[in-house]
Amino acid sequence: MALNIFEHRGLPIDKQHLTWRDMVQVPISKLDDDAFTRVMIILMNGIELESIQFSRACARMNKNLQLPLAQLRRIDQHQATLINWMLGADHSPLETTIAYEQVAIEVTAAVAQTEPDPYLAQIYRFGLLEDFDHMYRYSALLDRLEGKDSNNILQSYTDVLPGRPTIYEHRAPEDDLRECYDRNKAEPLTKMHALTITAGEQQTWNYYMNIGPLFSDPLARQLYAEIAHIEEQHVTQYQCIMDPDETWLEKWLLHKANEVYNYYGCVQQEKNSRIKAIWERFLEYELGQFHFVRDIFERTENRDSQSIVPAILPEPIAFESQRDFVREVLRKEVNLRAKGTAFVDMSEESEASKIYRQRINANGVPSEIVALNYIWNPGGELNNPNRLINVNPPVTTSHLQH
Amino acid sequence: MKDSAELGLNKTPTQLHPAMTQSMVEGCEEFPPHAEAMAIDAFDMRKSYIKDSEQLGSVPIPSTLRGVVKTGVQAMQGNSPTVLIDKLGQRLAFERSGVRLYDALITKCQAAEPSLDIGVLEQFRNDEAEHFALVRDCIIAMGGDPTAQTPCADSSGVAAMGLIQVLNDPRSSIPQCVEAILIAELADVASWDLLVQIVREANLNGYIEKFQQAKLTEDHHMDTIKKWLELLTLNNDSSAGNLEDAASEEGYF
Repeated sequence: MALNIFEHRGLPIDKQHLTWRDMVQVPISKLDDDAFTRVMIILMNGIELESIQFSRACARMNKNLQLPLAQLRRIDQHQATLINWMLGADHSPLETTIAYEQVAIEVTAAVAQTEPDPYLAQIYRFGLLEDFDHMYRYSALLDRLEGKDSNNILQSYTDVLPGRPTIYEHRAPEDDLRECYDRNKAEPLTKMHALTITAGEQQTWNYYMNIGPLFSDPLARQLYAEIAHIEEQHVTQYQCIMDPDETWLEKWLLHKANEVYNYYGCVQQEKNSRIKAIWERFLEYELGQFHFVRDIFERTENRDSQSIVPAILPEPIAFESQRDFVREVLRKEVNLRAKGTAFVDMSEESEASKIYRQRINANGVPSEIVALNYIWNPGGELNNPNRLINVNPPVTTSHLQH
Repeated sequence: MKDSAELGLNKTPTQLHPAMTQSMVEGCEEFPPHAEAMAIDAFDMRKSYIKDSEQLGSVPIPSTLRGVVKTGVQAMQGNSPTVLIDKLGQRLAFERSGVRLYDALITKCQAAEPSLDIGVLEQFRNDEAEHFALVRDCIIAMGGDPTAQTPCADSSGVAAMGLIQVLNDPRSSIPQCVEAILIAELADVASWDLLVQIVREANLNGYIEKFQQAKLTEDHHMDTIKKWLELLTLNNDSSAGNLEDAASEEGYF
C-alpha cells in the first residue's frame, strides 16, 4: 500500500532526539543478516549524506534559511550516524566496497526498469554496466589480496562478471554531462530516482576517496584511485539529471520527500525486525521533517506543495536480485559509449574521450592488472580444482566486441 | 556471552542458494574474462613501486650525547646500532599495546560470565606494563628518547591493528579474544628472544639478565594463554567439573 505523505504528519522535529547510545547500536551480522539488509543500510546512509550535502550548499546561498536548515541537518547527522554505524567492524574496507557496488548494481537496475523517462532509463542502464564492472574488479582484488570470496558479501544475489570494462569508462568531462528532466513535466518517480541514485553514487565516491589511502598495496591504491575517478564521473552524470531551475526550497522539499519515499521502501521490505524498527522510527522522523519544510515552502513561495510532491508517493524501489535484467543490458548495451549528452556505439565515440583515456591510462591500468584472467568461483579462485590447468592466456582486444 | 558460536542461519554458504549460485557460475561461461591492456602485470607494477619506495621512516638519533657516552657507547659502536634502537622501540610500543590488549580482555571477562581467572589476566597485564617500563629505562640509559616511534614499532603496530579490533568488539567471544592474545604472546616470546641476542651483541650487560627474565615471563604468558585456548576450545561441551579440575592448575574457571 502506497503512503500518503500529506496525511501522515510523522514526529515533530522538536521530538526527534537521539542519544549516543541510540546512535551507536549493535551492528548487523555480516554473516547472518541478509545482504539486502546491508544494501538498505548503505543506501539510506547515502540518502542522509546527500541531504546534509544539499543542506550545506543551500545554507551558503540562502541566509534566511540557515536556521531551519541547521536544525534539520543536525537530525540528519544523527540519523546518518546511526545508520552507517550499523555496519560491523568485521567488514574490511574492501568487503564494504563490495557491498557498496552491490547497492549500485541492484538499486540502479531496479530504478532503470521503472523509470518512466526513456532517456533517463538509458542513463541508468549506462551507469549500471560500469558499476557492474567495478564489482568484478574489486572482487578480483578481494580474492587476490585478502584471500576472500566477494560472494560471502553478495550471497549469490549479484553476479561477478566483467561489464563495460573500466578501462573504457574514463571520459572527457564534456561526455559525462546529461540532459535534465523538466521540473514541470517530470513524473514524481523520476525525481525520486534522480535524487536516490545521485545520493548513492556520491557517497560511494566519498567512501572510495577516504578508504583508498588505507591500503598498503600499490595495486589496491591505484584501483581505488581509478574507480573513485569513475564515481566522480557518475556523480557528474547523475546530478545533471535534476532540473537546475528548481528553486532551492523546491529542491529541499524534494529531498525530504525522497527520504520519506526511501524509508518507506525499507520499512516495507526489511526482514530483520530490529532494523525494521529503525526504519519505522526514521520514517516518522522524515515525515515530521517533510511537513516542517512543507510549511516553510508554502509560506515562502506561496505555492501548494502538492504541485511538487504528490499525495501518494510512487511504489518503492524493489530490493531484490536483478540478475536477469542486468545480463540482458550487458548483452545489448556493453558497447555503448557517451558522446556529449547522447549515447552512441563505440565506433562513434568522441575523440576527446579517446585522447583523455590515452593520457590517463598511459602508465598501465589497475582495473586491467588486478583482474587478469579472473573468473569468479564459489569460495574464491583458489577453490577451483581446475584452476592450475585452466590458466589460458586472456583474449586480446582485437578479438573483442568492445 | 557464549563461548562458542551456535548453529544458525549463516547466509554466506553458496549451498544456501544453489540455483542462484549455479546461475553465477554459468554466467562466467557466457561472459568470460578478457584483457584490454597487457602492457604491465601485477608483479611488474608492484615491483616498480617496491623499487621506487622509501622506508616507513628513519631510526631516531639518540637525543643526549651524555647518554651515548655513559651507557650506549658500546652499543653505538656495535654492528647494528640502528637495529638495537629500532628493536627496543618496537618492544616498547608492543608492550604498551599489550597492556591495552589485556585491558580489553579483562573488561570483556568482567562483563561476561567469568570464564577466565581475572587475577591472572591482571598479573599478565601488569607484567606487560613492567616490560614497557624496563625497555623505556634501557632506551633512556642509552641516550634515546622513549617517546619516539621507530619504524619497527610502526610496522608491528600496523600488524596488531586486527588484534585490537577483535579484542574490543563486543561481539567477539572469549575464545576468539584469547586466540587474538595468543597471537600477540607468540610474537612477544620470539621478539624477546631476539632482543636478548641483540643486547648481548651490543654488550648492554646491565640489561641482558633483565631481558632474559622478561622473556621467561612471556614464555609463561604464552604457555598459559595457549592452554586456556585449548581448554576453551576442546572442553567447550564438557561438564563444569572437568573444567574446574583443569582450572585449578591453569587459572581457568
